[in-house]
Amino acid sequence: MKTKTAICAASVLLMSYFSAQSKNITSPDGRFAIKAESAIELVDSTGQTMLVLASNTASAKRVEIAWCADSQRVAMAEDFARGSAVFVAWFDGVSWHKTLQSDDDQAAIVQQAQRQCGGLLVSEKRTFGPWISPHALQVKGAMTFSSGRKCAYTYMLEFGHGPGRLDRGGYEEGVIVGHGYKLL
Amino acid sequence: MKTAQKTAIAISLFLSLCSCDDEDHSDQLGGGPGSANPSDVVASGDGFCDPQGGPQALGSPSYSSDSIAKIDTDGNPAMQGQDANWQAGTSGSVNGQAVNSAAYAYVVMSPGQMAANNVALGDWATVTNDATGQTVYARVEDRGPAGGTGEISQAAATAVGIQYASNAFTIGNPSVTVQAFGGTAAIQGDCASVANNP
Repeated sequence: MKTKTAICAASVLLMSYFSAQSKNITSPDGRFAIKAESAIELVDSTGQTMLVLASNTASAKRVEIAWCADSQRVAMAEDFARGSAVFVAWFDGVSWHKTLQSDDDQAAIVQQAQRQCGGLLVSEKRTFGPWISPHALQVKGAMTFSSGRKCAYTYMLEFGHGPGRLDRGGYEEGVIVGHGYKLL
Repeated sequence: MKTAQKTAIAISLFLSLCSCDDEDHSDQLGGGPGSANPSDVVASGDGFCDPQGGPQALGSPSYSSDSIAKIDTDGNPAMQGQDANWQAGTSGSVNGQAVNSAAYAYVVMSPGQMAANNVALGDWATVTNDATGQTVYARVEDRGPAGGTGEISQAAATAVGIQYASNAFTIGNPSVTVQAFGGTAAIQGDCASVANNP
């Protein structure tokens, strides 16, 4: 596992998100990049858009990009004032696909944290740890409850078996699933 | 002044106040029928009007939830210090200003819900009080945490007969159905009519 961790040491780049500014986060092999403007796009080395990872980025507070070392997968955590979402794009050898982590995936840890912290979930944020393998990325999160208390947690975001159902937003659902949720 | 004159002036005033120029959504802030400030007809905006072209213009909802209502007071300065979760701004804005919860019917969705259902800020939504059937048109104007459902503005709650305490907690456990219509943000409001409240 240590070897894999070293191989997949995350190309994590943190950036402040400003819609007026274009920022490119290039893949380790230099063939692709995540381009952040008013939308978050995956582009090739010529700048041609491969897919739009997230089109709805207005008022985003923070965007974190984590390229896997093999450049076949890239994850994005997008934080807003109160909510967050995790998107992932992957290359199957022919084309790029995209998925997002379902809200339902977090229901159990939210309930667990709610019991510990009290009150209703008010806001949440997520950041990335390292890619543990080409198929698994560590995620850290923090939830704030109406009691004023905060609960930190962590989990492993793992690729399952695709392709999933294509939702209205063009995301293949169920391809990534959170495992090993743990309150810190 | 004769009654007929008074009536004519009243009708004229009403019509002038109700005339909508939705070009830049400048009328989205404020009260209007069913809002916390129903006398503020001047500001009645899309959040309280039928969409132009009627409900059929919105098509089928791309997102629907049925859950206990929660009140989001963001954007309402009066709730600072009252609601522990209050925030000065909403994710959505109108003319660069945060949307005022007390004055504008809006709903809250998580970023994941919005992305998966192709819903964007500004898209139309409806809020229905499951107990009474009262419905109000709203817009999606704020983002909330993952899995959050039934979170609506003060104005939307008031419009469908849901009461809440000064700390923004709902009275009782009212259930609401929230529906959002992706790709409808550009549809203007028809201020000549208001949402159907049976």
